[in-house]
Amino acid sequence: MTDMEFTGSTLTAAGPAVPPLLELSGLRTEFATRDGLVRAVDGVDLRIPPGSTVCLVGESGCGKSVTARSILGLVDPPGHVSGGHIWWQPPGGGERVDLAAYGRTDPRFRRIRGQQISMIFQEPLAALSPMYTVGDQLGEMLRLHRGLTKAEARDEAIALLKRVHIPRPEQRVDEYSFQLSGGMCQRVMIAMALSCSPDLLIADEPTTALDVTIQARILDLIAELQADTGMSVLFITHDLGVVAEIADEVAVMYLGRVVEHGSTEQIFTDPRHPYTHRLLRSVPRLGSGRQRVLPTVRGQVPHGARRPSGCAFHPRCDHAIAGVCDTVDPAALDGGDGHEVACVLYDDALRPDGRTLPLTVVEPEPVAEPVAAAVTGDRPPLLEVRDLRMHFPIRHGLFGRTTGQVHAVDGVSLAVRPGETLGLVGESGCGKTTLGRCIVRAETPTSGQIQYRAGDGDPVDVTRLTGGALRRYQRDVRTVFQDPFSSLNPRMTLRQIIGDPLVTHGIARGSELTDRVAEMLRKVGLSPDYLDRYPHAFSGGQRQRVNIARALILGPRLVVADEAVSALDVSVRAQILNLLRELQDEFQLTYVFISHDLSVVEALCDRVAVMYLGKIVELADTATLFTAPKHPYTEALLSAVPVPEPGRRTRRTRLSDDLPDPVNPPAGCWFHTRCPHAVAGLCDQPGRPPVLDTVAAGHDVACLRHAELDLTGVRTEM
Amino acid sequence: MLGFVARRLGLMVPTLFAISLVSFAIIQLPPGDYATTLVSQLEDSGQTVDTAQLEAIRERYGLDQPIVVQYWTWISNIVLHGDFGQSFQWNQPVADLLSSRLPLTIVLTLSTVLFTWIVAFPIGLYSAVRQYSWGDYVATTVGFLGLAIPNFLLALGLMYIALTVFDADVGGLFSAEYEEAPWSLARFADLLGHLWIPVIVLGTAGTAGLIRILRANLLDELHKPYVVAARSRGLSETRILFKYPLRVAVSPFLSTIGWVLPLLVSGEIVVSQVLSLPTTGPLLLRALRSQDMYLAGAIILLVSVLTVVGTLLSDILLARMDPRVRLGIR
Repeated sequence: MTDMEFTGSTLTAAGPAVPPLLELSGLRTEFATRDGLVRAVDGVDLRIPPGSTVCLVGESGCGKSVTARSILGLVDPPGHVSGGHIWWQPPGGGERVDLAAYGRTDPRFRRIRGQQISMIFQEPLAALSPMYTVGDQLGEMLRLHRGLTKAEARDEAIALLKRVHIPRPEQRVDEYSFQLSGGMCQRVMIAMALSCSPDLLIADEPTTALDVTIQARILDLIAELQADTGMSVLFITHDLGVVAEIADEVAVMYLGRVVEHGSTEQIFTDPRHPYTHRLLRSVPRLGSGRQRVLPTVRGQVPHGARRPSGCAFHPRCDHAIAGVCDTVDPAALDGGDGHEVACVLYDDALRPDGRTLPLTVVEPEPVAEPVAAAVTGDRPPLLEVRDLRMHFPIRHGLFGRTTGQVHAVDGVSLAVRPGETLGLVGESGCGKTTLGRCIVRAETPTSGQIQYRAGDGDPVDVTRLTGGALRRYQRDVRTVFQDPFSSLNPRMTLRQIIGDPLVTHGIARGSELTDRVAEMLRKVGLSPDYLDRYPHAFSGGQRQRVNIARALILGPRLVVADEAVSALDVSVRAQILNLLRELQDEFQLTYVFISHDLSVVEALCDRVAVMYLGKIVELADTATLFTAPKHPYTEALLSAVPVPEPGRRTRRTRLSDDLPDPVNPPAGCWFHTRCPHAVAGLCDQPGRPPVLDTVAAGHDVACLRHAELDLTGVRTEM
Repeated sequence: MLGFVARRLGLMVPTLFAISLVSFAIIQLPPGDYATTLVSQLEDSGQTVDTAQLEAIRERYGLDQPIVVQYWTWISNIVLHGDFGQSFQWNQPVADLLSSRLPLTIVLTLSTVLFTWIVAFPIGLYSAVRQYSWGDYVATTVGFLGLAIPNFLLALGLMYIALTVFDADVGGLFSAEYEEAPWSLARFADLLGHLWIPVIVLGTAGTAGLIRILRANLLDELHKPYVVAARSRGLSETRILFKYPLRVAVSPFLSTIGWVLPLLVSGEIVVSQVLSLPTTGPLLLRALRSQDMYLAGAIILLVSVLTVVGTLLSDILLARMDPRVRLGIR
């Protein structure tokens, strides 16, 4: 550990006189596709000063990742860097080199990749080969770039794993990527990236695929290593919360160009480009309460081959000036304070009279909504889950003996009231998806009851339904899935996909089916002209609308939405959330909304249940849960969410380690191993696990110390 | 790893038992038995056989026993004494008959597998790395031709070429003077001189299939994130290719060991007839036609056992190559 030498740049403050470490000028990267030439990167100018963190933000399809990959020559054919310069200042002085002039297999690139510039990726599990141990892949780099022997490389690999805070590194070094969690894999990637003390780390959405708790720890780790080594970081993300947390400078990208560039302070307090304005406003902010309508960026990023003329953003811009914005391609203008923006509104020569700056936001302030009548609970619940358990056996050996049980759902009781939106939150592996699958009876629970009240009749136990009764239930209770790309059959048209439930339930066919599907498409905001198109023709947001249409075509009463917006961009996410809200009002729907994203849950849900290792640890109405949580786990989850306000960058509660093994849960309170408030001799006593106690009307908590703890939530005043 | 091998070996026991049952059932399937075949043969040559004689024959060969007893006698002799019984037709112990032919079948099989690998590996690799190049198109065309041409046709064509162009005697695996000779270097050279035609004939379809499989697998792997990540770490292109995607893509090569053996036995019969190869295929065909049950049963059993062993070998190799298989991750 002590023999680590990070020789990174000695410069810590980026003054104007310091030459940038990396300078992109007029960078262009093109892809020849069947739809025509796509300029994924279309003249990007960007400077990365030594020792600083620059964040590249924008919706998907704006060319952020391609920009990052172009720097290291990692764009696969048919893409290639077709113009501009990538000026790289090698460490220890010397002439600047233009990486854009190197071919992608140029041997000169190999001395830079991994040694001077290294990169980490979005899917840490996929970025590691499953065929070699973690230590092998780490050691390979050390032997190649630092000339270590096999034994030295192994010791160094262990030291590196320790440095990125991987517990038991001596064991982990011999494990394979698929034996590690996503967070662990990302730590390994970071260890690899740092192994040769690079001057620049390019991080391409490194935390997008991870839980918020893990994300917070990874961000901390990057910041800590940066402070130690003085390296620069180019951080690509679509999450403005993350940006506010870590960035020194921010570059906003739209359709292959940087449209605004400034310090984090400038971007968040004085955003100039209308696109930046809209991006900032479409982020659901933790602590803003339940909102009636979320602001969105209108429309979506156009396909790269159909770049609008003039300013590419003008078709979606609220401030666009006809005759100017659709013809003039705006150049980047420096406001004199290093804050650059590419928008004609800031160009005194082009701005028409009468337009004043700064831009005024025409949108109404988000209104916090009063708790709906349904939530007060004077009507009998629509669905009541009682002591539900779902155990999956683990089989081993020659005869498949059951050697253990995964307690995916372990004694959950909760009621879903008619007309409400109930949120289910927790880290991956906490059992929230399994609970959802039990509710829709995609799984048959091991034990427990799910009482469903159909119409005015007596409740029936869903867990015992079979045959026709089960099919009738499944007409009433539908699912919206997470992944808009894999949940639609690519060989079926929208008519077939959305109409399929009508056919299988024998409700409609022929022209009646077509009419109903067309009507449903209109309801979810898609044109009925799309009836005979296939899913590949649609964007992620549109596909999720198709998913919603399929769920609603049978006129259900309850919809279980499992991470329904997690795979979507912020702006599209807000559109889909608004749609879900409208449809709820129109069809008197009840939602069970499963998500790991607390800001989304806060914006949409009436009540929230927090799950940990198959149990509910806290259940309360949204406002109470977010402002006055009673369970340390809830507090930790809330504190892990990055807030899109640079001023609130504080180090807060961090959860240690990953989730414990659900096959052998810890004794006593299952959370005590990670709980900052755990008391030895109380929380870890076997035989005394906490049970869900009602601490106030409608507020249940399972914590032994809830009465004495004073926990902090998120503030609501903004 | 040891646990994996032990588990696979344990699973082989019931599999082998099932195979022996099925082999025995298959040879019992046709109506009648060896006695009836013998009778009809004798009658064809003008002799008459009376019932008493027939019963005597049945009794001598144990054909009058219940099926279960026949099975038990058969399998226990094999397992305990290595005695596969007597071939009715050849009037020789089955073990002696096979000892000359089975090794040649195995040699032919292994040579074919090796040929398939040596040819398919570089071509498949090239086809994937240089996708849509001229070489790729040529390999694809030749591959599809190889898949499409029936083996016996290929055999006839090659024999014709060998005869007219090289003026070689191409039937069988040996020239006449080495047919019965003891093993020597010269006999081995003679074997090699004859082996290439059946190897090409039998290996072409498999080679073409493997080229396509390797190309497709490699193309899937070449753009995986871990390859990009390896490139971002500054590894050379050759190292990346051979260390990362190729290792995943070669699994089908290992699987060939398992499936090439039954393919050769079934597909090889016709080819062996055409090329008059002294392998087990034609022997099996004749034994089945004359209801020489001990011979037929022995061949079916041995070939099945070899297939199971081949599958075991390929599974073990696969587990050594791929930690996901070894560690039982789905």
